[in-house]
Amino acid sequence: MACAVVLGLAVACRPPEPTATGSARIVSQVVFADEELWHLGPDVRPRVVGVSPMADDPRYSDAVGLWPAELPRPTGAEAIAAQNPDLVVIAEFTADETRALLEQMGVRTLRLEGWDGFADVRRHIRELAGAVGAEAAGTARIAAFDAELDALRQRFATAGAPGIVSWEDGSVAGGKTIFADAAEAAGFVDVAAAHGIAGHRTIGLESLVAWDPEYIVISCTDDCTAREQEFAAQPGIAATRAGRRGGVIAMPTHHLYSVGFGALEMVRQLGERRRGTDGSAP
Amino acid sequence: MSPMLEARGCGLSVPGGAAPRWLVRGLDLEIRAGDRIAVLGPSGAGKTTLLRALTGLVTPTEGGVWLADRPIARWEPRARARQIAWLPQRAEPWSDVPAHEIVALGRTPHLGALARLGEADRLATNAALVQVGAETLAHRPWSSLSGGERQRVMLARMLASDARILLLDEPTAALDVGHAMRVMRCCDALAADGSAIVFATHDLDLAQRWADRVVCVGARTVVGTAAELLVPEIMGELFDVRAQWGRRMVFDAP
Amino acid sequence: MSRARRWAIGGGLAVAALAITAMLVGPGDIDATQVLSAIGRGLVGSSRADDLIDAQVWLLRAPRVLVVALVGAALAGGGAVTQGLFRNPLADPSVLGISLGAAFVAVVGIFLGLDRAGVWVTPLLAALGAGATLGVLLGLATRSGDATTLLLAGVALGATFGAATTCVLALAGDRHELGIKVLRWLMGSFEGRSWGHLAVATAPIGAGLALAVALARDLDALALGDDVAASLGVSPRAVQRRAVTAVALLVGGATAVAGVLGFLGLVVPHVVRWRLGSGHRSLLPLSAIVGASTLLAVDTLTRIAPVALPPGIVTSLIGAPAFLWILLRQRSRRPT
Repeated sequence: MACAVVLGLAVACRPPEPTATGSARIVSQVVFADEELWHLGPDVRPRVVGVSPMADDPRYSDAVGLWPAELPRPTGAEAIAAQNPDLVVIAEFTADETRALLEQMGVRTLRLEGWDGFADVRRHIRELAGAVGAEAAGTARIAAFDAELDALRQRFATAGAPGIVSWEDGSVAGGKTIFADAAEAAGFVDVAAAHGIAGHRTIGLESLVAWDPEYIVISCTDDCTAREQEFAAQPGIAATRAGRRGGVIAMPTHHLYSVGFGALEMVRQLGERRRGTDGSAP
Repeated sequence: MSPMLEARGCGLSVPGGAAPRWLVRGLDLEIRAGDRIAVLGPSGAGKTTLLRALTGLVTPTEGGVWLADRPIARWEPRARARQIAWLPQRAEPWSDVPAHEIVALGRTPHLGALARLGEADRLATNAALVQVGAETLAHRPWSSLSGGERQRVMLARMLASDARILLLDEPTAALDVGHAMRVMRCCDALAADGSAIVFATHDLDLAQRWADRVVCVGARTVVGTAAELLVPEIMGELFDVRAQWGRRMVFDAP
Repeated sequence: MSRARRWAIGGGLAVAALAITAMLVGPGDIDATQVLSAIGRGLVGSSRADDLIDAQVWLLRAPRVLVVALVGAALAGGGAVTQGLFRNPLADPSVLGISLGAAFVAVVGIFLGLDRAGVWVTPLLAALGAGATLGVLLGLATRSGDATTLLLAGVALGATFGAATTCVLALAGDRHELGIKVLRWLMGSFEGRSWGHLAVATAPIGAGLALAVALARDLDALALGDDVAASLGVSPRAVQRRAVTAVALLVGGATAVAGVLGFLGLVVPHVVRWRLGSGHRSLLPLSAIVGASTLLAVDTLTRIAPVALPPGIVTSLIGAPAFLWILLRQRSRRPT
């Protein structure tokens, strides 16, 4: 019933025609777009009529406090349609039904798919900027990303890259992940990737210990130091090089799992941590 | 000689309507070694309930049951079970066990918690199987046994307990005349050996042939010798039929 | 030598062989000599937590192997007791929702943060959940006495607890870590089980197994029904109370330490009974032994498998078809 009303509403007030500069009413359902739409500049911001509820979650978002509180945070097809958007940025995990419903109503959707590394971050910025008609701002944003990345690379470039594993309750990040690129930029070797793992995969604790990595990255949301100590003392972990030499790194989730600029902060923290523990100067 | 088991002023009732319905009332019954007692009555009259009360499974509404001069409820259950064995009308194992395992259940009152069977238990189990002529069935699974074979295995289960008071509920109901005869002969031999036998039946032939005393469970509870009670007047009243003496075919085991 | 004794010896050897295999295989290049010397160091207490081989063999593999064996014994033993108690071969802690009841109460405990009070909290809560579920089922079973009602009630209870657990997860919503922790647990896992876990599980499972074995005679007596048991001097009520306690300890202890593992309690006692008869004297210890070796085999497989498989899924994947096969085989053998 409610759905029918919304559908009727959507048909009654057809979305305004896209202007020459791109979509007029944009809704984001992805943290990455919540962040990037803001940074694409003052030309794009006023056209955003809804961001994802996760935008305000400091554990996953670097856009906390950017968007005004009165801006809607719609979830689900109904709430999104109620914003009368002409472009909805959806995620890989957005339900296919939602997408189909939106497209039926004539709403354009942009699905950001594939996060296999920094190349995909650039690609997604370009796609997003193109979809909202802010190509120039997108190019500038990509350039800023690369400039910062290059600076970090140079800062952390050393010989003899130590091994690192990202470990989340059994799940490791192998090759073709943002983490693998971040680790490489910070001067590490992704051990999971070196063992032939691509993407995220679950492995046993025994395998992790057998790999004996010099660094293990885990996630944390609060009290990261305590998490680090607790994890490093765990049976098995305590015997690894990471456990013995202070190589356990607890990193806030909004850096560790960022698929945007937050990944650069991950590079910076990883690199600095390495300089701190193995004493090698840049 | 004092009775092995005794009912004193025993009354059994079931709840029904405004007032309880009495199945048995004012029963005085002394059960002694060698007794062969038939509990007679129409279906649903309360024969099974009386046997259960004598076994100690139900508490009489009034009066009581005494085992060797002590109220039956005051006996430790396992000690009681070593003296009284009960054969229900129907009992089925829930899983398909070999016959000898069923028979060995009769040894339960003699076993420790771990159910380890000793030499005495094995001997008693085998003896019981031989007694009912079921030794060849020992390793057969329950599901493969016929009705008559099952009843013999159950009888052996009862005998394996070495109890001297045997209460049998319709022991021959499922059996053909030949098997029924063998079961009753077995009971006879036990009684001759000093056991007390009480069996419930609605079969007048069976009672007439194998019982010395009779308990009539019906509108009135009457106890007497077989000669006194197995007469057309009393049986006619008990089963609500017209009864008379006549000629009939007589069976005997070869 | 009796069949039961041959089985016991064979089963014991299988447990030992599987335990040794489990200690020898796994990721990392550790040869048999290194494993043995690490075990030796562990046994004399000179094992080092910061030595890589010691850690892998003595801190990861050894406690895991023992936890797996213990949980396998507990679930199969608990299944045997449950089947004997309900006089029904389909009665099983996972089928009847007992495991899910245990999981639900434990998850509520984790949600409320009660588990931080001590390592014994989760096993205790899981045991309470298992016991309470079993109590409800027993109440229903004694009132209707009908196997179908019992199984349907168990399925309904299981669904209720499953839904309630999901509900708690939904309430936990943004507590991501909690959600993952609970989900992993519901799938059943032996990942990273340590000596601490073993210590926590040993007391309830040990007590439960001892209680179960001591119930042998009384569960046997129940084979022909409550009345026959009573006539044999065994009080059905007393057996029920003790059996519920035993199953609560076994399933609670196992669920607390390994999560929900299905079908083991159903299939293992069934196979043992089918091959060996149903005397609980041998059924209970043998179910425990066969359960331990089965779960050891399953867990070792999942450890060396190239992809990470939750053991709970594997037991169900193997258990459910095995059960169907047994069922069909038995039916075809039944005389018409």
